[in-house]
Amino acid sequence: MRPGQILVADHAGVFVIKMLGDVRLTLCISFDQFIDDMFARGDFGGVLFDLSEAEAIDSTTLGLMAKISILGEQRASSRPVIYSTNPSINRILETMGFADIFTIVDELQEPVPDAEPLSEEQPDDEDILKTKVIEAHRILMGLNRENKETFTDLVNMLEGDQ
Amino acid sequence: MNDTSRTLLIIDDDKPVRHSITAFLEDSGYRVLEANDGPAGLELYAAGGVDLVITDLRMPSMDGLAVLKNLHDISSEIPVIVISGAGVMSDVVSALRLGASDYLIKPIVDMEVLVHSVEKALERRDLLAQNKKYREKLESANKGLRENLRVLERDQVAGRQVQRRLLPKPQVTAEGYSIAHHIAPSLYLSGDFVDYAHVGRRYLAFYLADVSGHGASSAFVTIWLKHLVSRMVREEGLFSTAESFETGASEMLTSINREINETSLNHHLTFFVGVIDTHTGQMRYVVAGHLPMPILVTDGKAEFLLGSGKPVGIFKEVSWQVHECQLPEKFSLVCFSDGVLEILKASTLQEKERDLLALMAQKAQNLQTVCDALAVQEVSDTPDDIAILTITRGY
Repeated sequence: MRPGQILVADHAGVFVIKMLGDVRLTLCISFDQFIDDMFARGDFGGVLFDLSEAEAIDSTTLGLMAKISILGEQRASSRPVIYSTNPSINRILETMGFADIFTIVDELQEPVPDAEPLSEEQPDDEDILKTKVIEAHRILMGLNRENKETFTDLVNMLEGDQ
Repeated sequence: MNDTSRTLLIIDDDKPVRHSITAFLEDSGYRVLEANDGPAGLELYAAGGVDLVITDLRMPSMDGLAVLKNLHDISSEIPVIVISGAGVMSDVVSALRLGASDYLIKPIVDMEVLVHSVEKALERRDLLAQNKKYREKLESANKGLRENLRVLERDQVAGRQVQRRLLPKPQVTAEGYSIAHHIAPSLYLSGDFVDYAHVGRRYLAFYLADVSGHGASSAFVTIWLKHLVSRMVREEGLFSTAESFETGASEMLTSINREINETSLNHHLTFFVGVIDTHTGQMRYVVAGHLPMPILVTDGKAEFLLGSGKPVGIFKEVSWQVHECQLPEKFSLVCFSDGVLEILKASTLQEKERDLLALMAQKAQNLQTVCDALAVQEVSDTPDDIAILTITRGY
């Protein structure tokens, strides 16, 4: 397995947290700090976890993801999106019951926004947010294909042979 | 880089030469002490405060080489510049062998050369002194670190012993149910924990918990957990009645979940909690975010128990479904923490689960056969704690 790496980027207040390889945050102060900073941002609008290149995720990281979800609900009443394509990772997410606190997707097609309702009622925030989050992710991914620097390397853990 | 606080000692029996050197060095900002022969020079040096010595090689009573030797016997670090008459190269070579910093040929035509030589020798001495200081500092820091590490290790070992004592003792009930466990921590302390008890001589209750993370903070949570569950069993009669047999496992997790949310421990737990009515072979259990699922082996056939449930300590409003299962006369039930997945060779989680099932179908007779099959004892660098709990009957 590749040593774990976490990359973060944001676009218009939407944060993308990309995890690669074997992610272990046994004693991760920096990620905790990042979470605090992220929610301190005035324009915080949502989070997308890109786990498509993650090979394994340890329990500490899962706990922090749950923390982000719960804080995100409080802060922007937006449910974070998880983009995950690896069956091993999907199995862990399912066991953890994450489907209840995340929107888990296995492809990044934008949901078709509903036609604008003419009623006085609130439009369905969920879909609008999801669109926004996924859009941000695509922009970042587009930049990222050629240019890794879009994403700041948050944590680079070298396990084993330190 | 003339430093007025530097004191030089010049030893030379040739007064005019000595005075002219002294005058020039004083003009250059040094404090200069004079001696007209070796013994007087050594005496001045012994009084202390001399940073560098300039000595003539040819002097009556004690020559410069003897002065040099004497000085270096007292301190090997004092820089000594020797001055020799022209044509006595052999003396110069001897002086350099004896550790002189530099030599100058008399008559000294250009005093700047002398000043330069003095500066260079002092600078070198300073560097050496600094170097030595750094080395001493490093060595002492290193020693301190080693000692601290030893203290921490002792502390961890002591903690591990405490944690070990909190673990239950393997037992066999009157009805022939054997229960045993093995825990291999990735560090000294483990975030995995098991406990079991034969409550009221009828209900065999057990749990395997995996606290997120590992090491000391997770180990603290296991100790807290042990205390909490013991209290429920002792004071609230958990698992001691027919009613609690049916619903106790879920109530236990609900209580723990509430406590964790109240104390914001920043840790969550995955669980397998079970209770067997040893009179009937009925089992009730709950699963909380636990991977891999416990494995039930009967007649050489291994299957994962069914059921699912959320981990403890993340969700506020959550309840756990109690699952039922009738155990046969002869069976073995093996429960692992997710650390076991780390030591299986397959690449995907699904393949690992399949391999684990296949292995257990053959090797689940007792705790020892399970540990041997997985070679748990040989694994020395597992990145995660591994806990194994086995309940067998009829083997």
